Amino acid sequence: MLDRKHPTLVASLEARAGVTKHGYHHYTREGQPPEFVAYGELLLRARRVAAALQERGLRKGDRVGLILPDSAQFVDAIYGAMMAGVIPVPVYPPLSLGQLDAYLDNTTHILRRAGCKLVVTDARVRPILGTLMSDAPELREIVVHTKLVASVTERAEMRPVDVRPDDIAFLQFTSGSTSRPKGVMLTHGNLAANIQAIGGPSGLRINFESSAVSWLPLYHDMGLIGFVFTPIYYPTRGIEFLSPLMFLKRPSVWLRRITEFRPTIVFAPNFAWGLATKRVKDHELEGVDLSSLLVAGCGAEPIQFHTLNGFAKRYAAYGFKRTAFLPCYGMAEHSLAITFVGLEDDLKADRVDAEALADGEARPVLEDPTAAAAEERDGIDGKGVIRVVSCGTPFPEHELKIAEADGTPLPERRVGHIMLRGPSIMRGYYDDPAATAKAFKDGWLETGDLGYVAGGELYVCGRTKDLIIVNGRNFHPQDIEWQASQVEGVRTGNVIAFSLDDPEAGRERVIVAAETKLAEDKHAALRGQVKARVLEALALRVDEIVMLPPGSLPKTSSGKLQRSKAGEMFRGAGLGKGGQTGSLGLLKQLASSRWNFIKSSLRKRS
Amino acid sequence: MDTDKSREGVLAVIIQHLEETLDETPEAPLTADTRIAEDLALDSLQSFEMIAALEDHYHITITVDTVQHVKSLGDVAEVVSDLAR
Repeated sequence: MLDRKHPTLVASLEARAGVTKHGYHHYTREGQPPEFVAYGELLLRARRVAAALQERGLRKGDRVGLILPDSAQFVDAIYGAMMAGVIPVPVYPPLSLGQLDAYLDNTTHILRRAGCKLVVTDARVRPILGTLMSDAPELREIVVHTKLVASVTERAEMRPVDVRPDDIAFLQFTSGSTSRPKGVMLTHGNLAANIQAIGGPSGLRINFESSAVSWLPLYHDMGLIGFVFTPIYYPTRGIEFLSPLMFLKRPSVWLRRITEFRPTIVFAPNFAWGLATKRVKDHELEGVDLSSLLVAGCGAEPIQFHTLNGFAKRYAAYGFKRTAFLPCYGMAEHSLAITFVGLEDDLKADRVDAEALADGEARPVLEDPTAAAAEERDGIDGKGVIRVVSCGTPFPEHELKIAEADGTPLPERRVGHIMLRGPSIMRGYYDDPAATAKAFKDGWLETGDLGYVAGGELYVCGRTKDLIIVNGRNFHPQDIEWQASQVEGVRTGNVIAFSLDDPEAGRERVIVAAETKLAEDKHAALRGQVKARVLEALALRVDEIVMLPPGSLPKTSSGKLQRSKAGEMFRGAGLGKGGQTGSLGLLKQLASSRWNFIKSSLRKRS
Repeated sequence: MDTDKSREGVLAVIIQHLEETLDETPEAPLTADTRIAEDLALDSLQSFEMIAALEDHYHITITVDTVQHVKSLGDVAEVVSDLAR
């Protein structure tokens, strides 16, 4: 049961002081045993970090940036900051091979907006951060974790700080455009409400036998709230962390750690289940046993039935049960989760009519067992059919409605805007009243997502925003367009970036359409340059680049580019017709593509 | 068969892996100077897939932090060659 007596994370951690048997296991060195930190030990480490932060003059309400790839260091730093009442701002560490400029640019924007006075990092990342200080005026120091800790003795006493449920627990930076990142303010009260729902009787029913293995990034909501914070509220058998990069390099490591640690719970976004199906070779699976898993959660990006079903089929022989899958819906502005499917429920998808869905109605197609079985075998929906995965029902004391853009509620099976209300909702965006005001409509949080409800369960269809999500990372089309415009030969301001669902690959394909005055024999080289530029600046791989003569892109009467129109034209092959090799196959795949279509038809309605 | 663990030997393995896995054949031939981001446009999934293939080939473990700073295929070959020998 949730500890209702301790409504803040700080109080909950203090209540765990006597626990020496359970805690966090950090699998940081491949092939070596994980480092174990019991909750009792963590409390001591966190107090020492808190004392060190106080020693450096940080007070309640000040912000500290955390750029710590090592999970053990990250966990004591974030709890340490909270104990001192300092607001931690987790920032992602560098991710790919050699693309540091874009990384530094994003990081500077985040640290500046949060007004961080101090950044805690590690010795490997520290040299990269050289120039940050001059660009973030409030930043006084960048300190390496080990040095910060060593600056006070083991017995150093932190000055007690009164941390209350209404205080901001941390800032989650998310999906603002690069130059204007938004910091979601979550209070201890928000987190307690969401964690109570996640682990409670309508959620995962966490108990002493519960345990987890997670490679999810700890600077992001699913890894941080789900696997760092939740275990502090509920007594569990423990959590094992491995790094996201270890998983990306070799997805089988995740399966091996599950085999070893025997967790009951794992969570991952859709793409990860696909990666673990496709990128793992049979010889890597010797001895793998996934039978301990009672919950295999999936969230954070659109869920594809065939991706999850493909995993279940491949790993049934390794003890994986499809009923373990637990699709869910959530977002950072709502702490973490909003809906879960039932713990024992099988993976469930609604087979609806594609054309009707484009008109905003989720009309079930006549159940045809032969066709449905063939779809599951081939991993792709039949013609005119779309499978939408159920994300389950909202948590108790949390409200969800499907509405027109103006907030008028819609009946079941009508596609509309997903709006939320309840105790898990953020207080707002840090230091950004304009963005905060825009996020709410009459007290309801506008998620920016589209969906419908059938039989009380939520089915998510896509996003109203033009946001592009690739492998769980959010991109704003404006950022991609701006980068592409920087390439010489591309007509400035005449670039459109958009994404189309690719059901076969289980992810979105990113397409850039750009106008140029250059002759056709120069287009191939130009495409290469645009691709490289976007990759270098945003660490995003563009799947398709279409070069067009001036005046080809659709614009509104006021001269604004129309992204959704471009998507439709691309799908209908009206854009860059004949000029592209290799697009034909893509266009065929996209014939069954859908969400952009729905988005634009909804826009017409509103 | 004796595996060639020299920088050149590793580079040949890298190039073969990329030629087999990339969707589009690169315009210029792959060399030690080919840059991972600018010339090949590999994203993090693809670059880590390459690292995993090299681990399998040479029966070594390439920790993530040793390859964080590489820029070209030659840089990768050097890291792997050092680890394999």
